[in-house]
Amino acid sequence: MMGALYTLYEREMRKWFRQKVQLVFIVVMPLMWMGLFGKSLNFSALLRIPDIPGAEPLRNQIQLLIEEYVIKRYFGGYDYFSFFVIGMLSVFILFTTMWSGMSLVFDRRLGYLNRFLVAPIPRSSIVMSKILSSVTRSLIQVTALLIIALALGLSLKPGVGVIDIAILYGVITLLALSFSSIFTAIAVRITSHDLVISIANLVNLPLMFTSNAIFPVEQMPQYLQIIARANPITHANVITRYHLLGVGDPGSMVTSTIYMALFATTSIAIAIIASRRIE
Amino acid sequence: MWAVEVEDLHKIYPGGVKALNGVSFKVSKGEVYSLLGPNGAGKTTTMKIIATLLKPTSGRAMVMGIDVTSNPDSVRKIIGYVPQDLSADDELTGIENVVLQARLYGIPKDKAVKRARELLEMVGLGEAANRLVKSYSGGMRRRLELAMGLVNEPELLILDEPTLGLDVQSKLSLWEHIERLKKEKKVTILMTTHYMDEADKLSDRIAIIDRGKIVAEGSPQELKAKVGGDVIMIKISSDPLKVVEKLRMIDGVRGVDVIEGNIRIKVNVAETMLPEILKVLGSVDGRIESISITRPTLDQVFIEYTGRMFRDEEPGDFRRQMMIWRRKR
Ligand SMILES: Nc1ncnc2c1ncn2[C@@H]1O[C@H](COP(=O)(O)OP(=O)(O)O)[C@@H](O)[C@H]1O
Ligand SMILES: [Mg+2]
Repeated sequence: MMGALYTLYEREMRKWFRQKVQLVFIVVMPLMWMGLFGKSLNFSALLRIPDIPGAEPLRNQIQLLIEEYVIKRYFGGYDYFSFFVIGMLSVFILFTTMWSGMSLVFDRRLGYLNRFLVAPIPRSSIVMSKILSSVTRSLIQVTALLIIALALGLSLKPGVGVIDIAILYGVITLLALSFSSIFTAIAVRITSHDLVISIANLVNLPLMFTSNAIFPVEQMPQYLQIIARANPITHANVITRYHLLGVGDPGSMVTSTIYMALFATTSIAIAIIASRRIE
Repeated sequence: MWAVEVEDLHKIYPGGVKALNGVSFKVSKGEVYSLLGPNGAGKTTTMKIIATLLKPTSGRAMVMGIDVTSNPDSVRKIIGYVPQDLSADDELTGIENVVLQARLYGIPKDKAVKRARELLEMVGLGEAANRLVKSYSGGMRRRLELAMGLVNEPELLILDEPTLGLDVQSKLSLWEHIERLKKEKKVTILMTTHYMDEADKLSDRIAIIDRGKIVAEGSPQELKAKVGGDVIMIKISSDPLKVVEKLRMIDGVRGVDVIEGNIRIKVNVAETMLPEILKVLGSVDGRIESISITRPTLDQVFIEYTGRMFRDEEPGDFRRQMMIWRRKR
């Protein structure tokens, strides 16, 4: 199992690194989200009162109130851009991993899959190689995005440490495992890449908007809150925002971690079971 | 024990296409056995079932005595499968493809690289080993596929239309490789083709398959013999009518007549009959001016058993679709 898995995983990564454009693509789209959306919908900037000549004390007082009772209350800190960027890291992982099934569909279309299926290897190694390579790509992507975001003005909490960064990578790993398992499992019997595209397009925005990536869950209507709390992106962000921005409730760490671990385990189990039906 | 034993295979695809209608055959060890039939006859379906890629609707298939449905992993270890559709990865080099394949059979890295080099050398791709498969010609791809099918030193090699779409030159080169394999490696080869000349040239035995059923089986000679056998035409300087009766008496001669002064002798296999015929002709006056042998082709065999002409290329699905679509408009 491990030998075959490693061989197939190596193939995936080798092919990915060979496609130099892909390396650019994993940062271009997020760059647009962060640079355009993140900067223009920056609530901290939007709610900044311009200088009012002759009324400086009043203006400053109101500004302080807005920052304290609007921005900080909603976003846990004074800086919406950082809130947005850390939240969107998880969403970018979704955007990357939702294509995990595509390579399986192409392997089938191009006949490579038959080669793997006639070899004396477990079916699960084929599926797991897709999942693990997808996770690896996600981790590489997160690293690149973090650097770009810092250049764009992301400010992490004072005294952020190696452990906080390690926790970020752990959370991203769990999230990427979950999503790539689910999307690979879906593709096990799919023969048309159009269908994969439709599925990806169907789920990407709803999953983003029903999470705390852009807006805090507390401000959502009740029904949306229920969905948001089931969404693993929400839990990923609860953990990463606490550790990187110092925002949020430390009491949620344990429940969110348990939720993510369970979600990932279940997803992998589904993918392994689905791999038996690969054809 | 048979290398391959197939018993009453039926396959109905989801959607109701009946691809196989009771296919049975047996292949001895060391033999080259071909399924010959037109497109859509069920060749690929049969190969996929034997290669453990597809489950039959009913019936069973055994490779070296192992059942392919109940024990697929054991079968996978001892077969090499070269699919009809190209399966080497374009974005990898030739050697990367073969090494990857070898690694899937549990061969350690350094041994896999060594094996890959040998195999690529063997199929004449030593020079091109480090090029991306993208840049290979059709013939090179087919040879690469062959090398990939051999990484585990299979006891049974399955070749599904190994020369499909190749030009004459590449086709001949691939035939040479297959013949060398047969001689040197003593591997059993089960192949399919819709080229008559290919089946004729390479196979020890041929099964003719049409519409999911095997309609005839035998060595190329036997099959042709069933249809009518070879024809020997002899021109002699003396009166041919004097020897006709004598020639008719020879065991194995199926008919003699005289056409425009030539003696026309119908036999099963010309080579084995010629000495006897020449002996008879030597006992009469006159000398032999010319001898020619005409062989029956497998095309005639196909017509004989199916009542239809054998066409090399049926319209592909796409073209057929276009035709239907045009007709509708
Ligand atoms: N996956 C499939 N689904 C439905 N029908 C199929 C499928 N594969 C093959 N067929 C049909 O089964 C028949 C036999 O096909 P195949 O075994 O590929 O023939 P051959 O290899 O002799 O050309 C054809 O009618 C073909 O259209
Ligand atoms: Mg075929």
